[in-house]
Amino acid sequence: MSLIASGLMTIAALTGGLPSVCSLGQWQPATTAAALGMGGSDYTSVSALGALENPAIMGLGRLEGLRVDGAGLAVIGYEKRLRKVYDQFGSAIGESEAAFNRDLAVMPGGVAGWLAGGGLPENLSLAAGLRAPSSFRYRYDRVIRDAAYVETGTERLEIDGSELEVALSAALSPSDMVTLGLGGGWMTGSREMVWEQTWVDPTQPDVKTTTDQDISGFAARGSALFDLGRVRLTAGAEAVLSYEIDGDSSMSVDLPPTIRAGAVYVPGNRLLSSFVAEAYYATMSDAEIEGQPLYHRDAWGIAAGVENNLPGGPTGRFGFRYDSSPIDRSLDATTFTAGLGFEAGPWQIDLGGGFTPVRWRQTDVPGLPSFIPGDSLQVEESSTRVMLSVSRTVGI
Amino acid sequence: MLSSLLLALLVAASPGQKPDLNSATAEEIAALSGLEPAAAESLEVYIFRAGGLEELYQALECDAVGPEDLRPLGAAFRIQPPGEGDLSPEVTDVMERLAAEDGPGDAAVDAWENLLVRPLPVNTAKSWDLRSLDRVSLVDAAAVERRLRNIGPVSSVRSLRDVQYLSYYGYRNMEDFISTRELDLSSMELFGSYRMVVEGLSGREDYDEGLGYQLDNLESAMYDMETGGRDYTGSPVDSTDVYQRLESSLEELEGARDVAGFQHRVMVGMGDRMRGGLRLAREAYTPAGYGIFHDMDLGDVSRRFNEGKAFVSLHHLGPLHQVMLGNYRLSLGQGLMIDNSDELMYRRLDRAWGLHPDLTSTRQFALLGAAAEVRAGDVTGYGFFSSAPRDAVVDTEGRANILIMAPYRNSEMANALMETTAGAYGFYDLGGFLPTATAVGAGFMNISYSDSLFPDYRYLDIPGDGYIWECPEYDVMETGSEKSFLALSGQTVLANTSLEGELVRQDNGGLAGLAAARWQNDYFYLTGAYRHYGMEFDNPYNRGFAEQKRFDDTVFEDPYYLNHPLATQLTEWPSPKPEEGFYVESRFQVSQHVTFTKVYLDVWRSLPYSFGNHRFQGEVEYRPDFPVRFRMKYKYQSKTKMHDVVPTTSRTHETTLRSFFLPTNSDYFSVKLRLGMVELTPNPLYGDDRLLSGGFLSANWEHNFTESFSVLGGSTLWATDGMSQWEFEDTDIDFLDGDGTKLYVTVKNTLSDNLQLRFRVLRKDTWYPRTGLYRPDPDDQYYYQGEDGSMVTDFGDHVTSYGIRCQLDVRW
Repeated sequence: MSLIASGLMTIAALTGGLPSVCSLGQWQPATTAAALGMGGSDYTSVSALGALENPAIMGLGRLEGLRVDGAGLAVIGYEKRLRKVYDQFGSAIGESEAAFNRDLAVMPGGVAGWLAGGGLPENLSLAAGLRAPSSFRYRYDRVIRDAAYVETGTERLEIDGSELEVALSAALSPSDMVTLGLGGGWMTGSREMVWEQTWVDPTQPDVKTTTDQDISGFAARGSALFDLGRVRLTAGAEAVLSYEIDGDSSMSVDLPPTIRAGAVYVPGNRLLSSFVAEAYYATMSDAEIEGQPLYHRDAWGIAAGVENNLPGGPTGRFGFRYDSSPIDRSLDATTFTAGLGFEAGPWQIDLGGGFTPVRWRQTDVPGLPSFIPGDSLQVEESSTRVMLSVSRTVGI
Repeated sequence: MLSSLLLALLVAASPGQKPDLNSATAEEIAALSGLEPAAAESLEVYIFRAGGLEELYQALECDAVGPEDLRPLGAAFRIQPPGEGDLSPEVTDVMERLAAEDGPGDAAVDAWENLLVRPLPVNTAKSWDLRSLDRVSLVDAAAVERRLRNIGPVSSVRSLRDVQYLSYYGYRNMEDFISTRELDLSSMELFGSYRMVVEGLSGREDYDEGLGYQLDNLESAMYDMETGGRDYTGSPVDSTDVYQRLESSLEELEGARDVAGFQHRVMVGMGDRMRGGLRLAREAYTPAGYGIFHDMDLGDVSRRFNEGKAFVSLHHLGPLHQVMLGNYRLSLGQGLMIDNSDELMYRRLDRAWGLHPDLTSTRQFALLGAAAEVRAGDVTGYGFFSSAPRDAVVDTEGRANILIMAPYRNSEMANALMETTAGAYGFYDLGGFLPTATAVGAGFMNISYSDSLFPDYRYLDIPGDGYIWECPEYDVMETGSEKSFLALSGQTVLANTSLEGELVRQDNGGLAGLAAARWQNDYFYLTGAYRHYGMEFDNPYNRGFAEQKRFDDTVFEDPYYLNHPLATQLTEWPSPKPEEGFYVESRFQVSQHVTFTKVYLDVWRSLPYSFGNHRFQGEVEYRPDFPVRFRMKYKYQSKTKMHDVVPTTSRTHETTLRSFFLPTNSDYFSVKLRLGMVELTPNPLYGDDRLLSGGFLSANWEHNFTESFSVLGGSTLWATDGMSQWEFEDTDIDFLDGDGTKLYVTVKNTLSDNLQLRFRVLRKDTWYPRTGLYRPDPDDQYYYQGEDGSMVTDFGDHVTSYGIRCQLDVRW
């Protein structure tokens, strides 16, 4: 296996294959395009899909009937690998491109329903649905050449798979000011990896390695919402009760709980603006696999966004988020987001986009091999997410 | 149903006062107007989110309300429009205007922000106060004081418009910062603001001599030593020690690679009596804090942030006009004795005069201690004391060699010694019997360091590298731990002409002097200034009018001359170079359509080698109609610097064409084209490339969706051949190198009178073609790091950077 491929597979094993509550460095929008446009503020997303992550958020809905949300997204990834070039005095003069990969993937976001009224007790809301909080997809291929630039072979690495969660949430509002919520879900998913080397020289054996893994587990959530008028505060925790990876070998992963909090501020202006901000924290340094520490760092993130209803036009949204990586600081990522919302009769259609550029050095990430001692391969990658979601509320 | 009837009865019982729709519940709306309950609830939600209706017709913006509903709503309810806020959202707009291309600098802007929220009571203001405002000349300030002294207080700021000798330009620039309010010393009203700035960057961090540049220099220096490129035989410097320092510096600065920028700033005030503030910050890609507040162990805060400032001030305590504890900023006279900002006053004579709190990013020049301003009759006096740590380049003997202002500092440089500064400056106002704003002043300042400074070039220079050490500005600096300064100043205003100046003598005999005069009216001004900064005058707080920083064009510009490449940051030292020169500047509005916006000529002599230099710039504006403006600017500069073999002269020509359009009331469009060229004296050491060139084309467009929401987008294309370009982009200067493109979007959103948000994203692509790298000699070839045998021939280096900046302002 080439060093590049082995490095990529190692990092995939570290960052992929874990549920969203763990893969904090691999943020994935899992609610609606409206939330993605506002910095990926999933925890304060007042929607059926949002209720699966934060049950208490249903206290903000004023819903009488059934609201159904559906979302899907496309992810465009670019990756460039660079090596520093030095002159005879040991001064860096620039960076030369060593590899360039790109990929487009279409993924499910989720579908969920949120029910209030219609025979339910007055202060009770329920939500249920299927969501895809994370997916694993990576493409790498290159032509292998010798020092004289003659093609000697090709190399390909493909990783595919996704994690799905069937989730249920319930929220009870004992007063206008307070809502309490509980939820949980069963997680399932799979990941496949293929690494292949094909050589021009027929005497050199080709290589093909395939790995299949299945993922299963349970998660539980609890949250509370306080409606203080123009300011609404919410906080809660999410715990992974079990998380198993089955494949060539079975592994049990112990993940710490994630604490999350968010705020919604409705300032009251002609643009009917709202401002959201949220944060999460997970003591990922406690994460273990088969009783052995993963040697992660604690992870945290913040997100903020604004929504304005443009007079006579669509709803405009923008925001940003910052996610610290549990693996290494160099993988910390800032994401810019923006979105638009339209009403088409009874349908609410939202379009959101997020752009995440990250630049890191191969030698910065523990567990990855370096090409050559002293080399500092730089990786520039960007991920563009475009999400479409639709929702409709029907009376019962 | 019963409750609805009761509600209707209640309203009918008080016919003179209809209920306010803005505070009605959905049930009330439905009961009194006949709207369907669902529509009434939608209207209630709309009113809540809109913060109240301004007028009844606004209800139509709620989807559930139709034109037929207006009559019953109007019959049942009145509209009490939401009140105006106490704080002006225009604060941000004015702050942006101040952060313009030829703006006054961060330190001054910071000082003025307070006045936007709580304006200066103009009826009790002196010319001392007014002259410190942005682009308000001494003539303008004297005109207002004369008016108040002779005729008495004004009832509105607008009344000042026709004051004799007050230019319209000066009036427009002061009106945002002054009011006719009375000082209310009994008020306990609390107000304040909180600002949070988050700056995330992704991309190569080596722009503008940034972190990447410093890291590469350190690596290169280490490589040089590892491969035997330096010979320290006979040098007082221990080469092992130098190598270890390079290594530890590299390790420390590596820790700054992935650092995002954060800033938290809180300012509070109580009536006209008290002010306080705190700022914690760390700029993106800068190293750790090494203790932000000296001698205070703040644990993780000290590591997370690297700038910390705080102050408390009390005002109007009898003759004690203000007293300040903590960090303060002092700028007096012409800034030759004391002005503790970290910005060189490039061709600027106006400054934020006086004593102000300091929450700026200045670390090396921060004054920390106590300062007071006394006003007793015709005397205005300032006394100050400060004890603060200072960074310095430390030699291999552990001694401080020279002070340094270093964004990329290591633990060895950081807080290398303590500086104690104390002084006083008094002004006697002779305006009672001489023309208004006539005054004379005298000041004294003493600076002492906890350890002596030992400037010795042998500890900075690489021995035996074939380059001769050339830096007279450094060589004249003296060993010692103390220096003192004596200042004399004076000013007067005769009708619409002002004369002012300052002379400062250092205890080593070094002299600095500046004299300026200005004549102005509504359409024209002419400013002339003469300055002389002697070689021996090395006051770190000198911020007089200048063309060059002290160590510009010296060995400190090139890291390969220096033992420790981080010492190149000395070129940022913001004191003027020893120079002598005469400057003339004018603005002339020829007609309604044609204005020479700024024309200046500076002829100066750089004293270390007595080289003559000159610089001319002229800009003319043609405004055929109000919404359209065209500007053409031409700059020419001839500058000579000492070089290894012979002095070299550079002649720079730069032409800029710019136009602004206001196609609609909501749009602003501008486009700019710049072309530049530098002609150099051929230097046999660096080849025969005599001509450098570069230019860019940029455009930006701002659309205001509403008064409180606007989006600004801009793009720039540039191409350079050795001559880097700089561009003022949004609120900052950006350097453009290689060839490239740039795109940015800024969103400005006033969410409420109290909450403002500014959000900016940027993408910048730069291409550096690297050609002609083929070398047949294996010892001379280009290679990949860690792979000495690899041969790299031509390649294209494409740098992509992304930037995000989010600023949140909360005011109360």
